[in-house]
Amino acid sequence: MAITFIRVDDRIIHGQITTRWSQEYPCDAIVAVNDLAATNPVIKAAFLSSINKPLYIWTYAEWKEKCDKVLQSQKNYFLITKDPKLMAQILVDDKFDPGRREVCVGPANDRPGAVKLGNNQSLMQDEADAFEKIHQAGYKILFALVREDAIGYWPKFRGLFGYK
Amino acid sequence: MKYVIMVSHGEFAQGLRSAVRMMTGERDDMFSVSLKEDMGTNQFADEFAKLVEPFASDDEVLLFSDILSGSPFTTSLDILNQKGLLAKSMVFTGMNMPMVLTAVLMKDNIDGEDLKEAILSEGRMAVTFFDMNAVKEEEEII
Repeated sequence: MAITFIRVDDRIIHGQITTRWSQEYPCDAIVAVNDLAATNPVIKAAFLSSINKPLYIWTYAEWKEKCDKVLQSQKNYFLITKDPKLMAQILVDDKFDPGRREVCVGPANDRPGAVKLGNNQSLMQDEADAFEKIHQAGYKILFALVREDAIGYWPKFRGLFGYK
Repeated sequence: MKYVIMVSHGEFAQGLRSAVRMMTGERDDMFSVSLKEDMGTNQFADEFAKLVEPFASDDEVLLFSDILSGSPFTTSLDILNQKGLLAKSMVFTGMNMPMVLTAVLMKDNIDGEDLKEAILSEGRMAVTFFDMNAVKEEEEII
C-alpha cells in the first residue's frame, strides 16, 4: 500500500481531514502539495500542528523529487492538493500512478463566475476542465465535504461545464 | 438511542452545533438549546423539556454544557431528572468542539467509562498553546 486517499481540497489541511477522512481510510502520513503553503512558514506551522501524524507540506518541485519514495513506502499515505489543476498535472500529465482510481473533492468556495454543485462546492470552468481530464484518465471523482455530505460523482455534474 | 445535547448561555450551543455539523454532516441525534440574553430560565426549561419529550426511558443523553453550575446546566439537569432520564445521562461541562465531535462520532461504538474517557481526553488535549517555534517538520519519509 502507498496512497490510500486522494483529495482535492481548497483548505488543504483542516478539520474535515484531521477529524474525519484520516479516520475513514488507513492513514499513517499525509502529503500535501501546494507551493504557497509549502513556502509560507506560518501556514505550514499551523498545518503541521493540526494533526498527530507525519505531515509533509511540499512544493510541486519537492513532490517531483520525492514522490517515488512515497510510492515505495510500506505506509499508508494521503495525497492532497488544493487545486484540481495540480492534481490533473500529477495524475495525468506526470502519469503518477497512485495505485487507486478515486479522487475525493472537498470544499471549494463560491467565487464570481463559479458554478455551484452543492454546499461549499463550486467550480470555475478551468477547474472543471481539470476534473474532466482526471475523469478521462479513468478516475472516479466524488464530491464530498465529509462522507455523509457526498453530493455525487463527476458524471452527474460534467454536463454543467459543456461536457457530454 | 443516544442523543447529544449542547446547552449554553448566549448562542454558543447553537454555534457549536453548527460547527460540529460541518465535520459530521447533518444528523438527527444532535441538538442545542441556548439561554439567550433576553430569555428567562423558564423559557429555556420549556424548550429543553420539549426537546426531550419524545425520548424514551431507555434513551441515553450526553449533555454538554458551557460552564459548570450556570443556569443552562442546572435547568437541563433538573428537566432530565424530572423526565427520568438523568440516571442514564452523561453530563459534561466546559464543552469544546473536540469533546462534542468525539461524542457524536464515538457514542455508537463505545459505552460507559470508555466513552467518558474518550470525550474528556480529546477535550483536554485540545486545550493547548500554539508555539510556532516548537513545530517540527518530518525530515524523512516514513
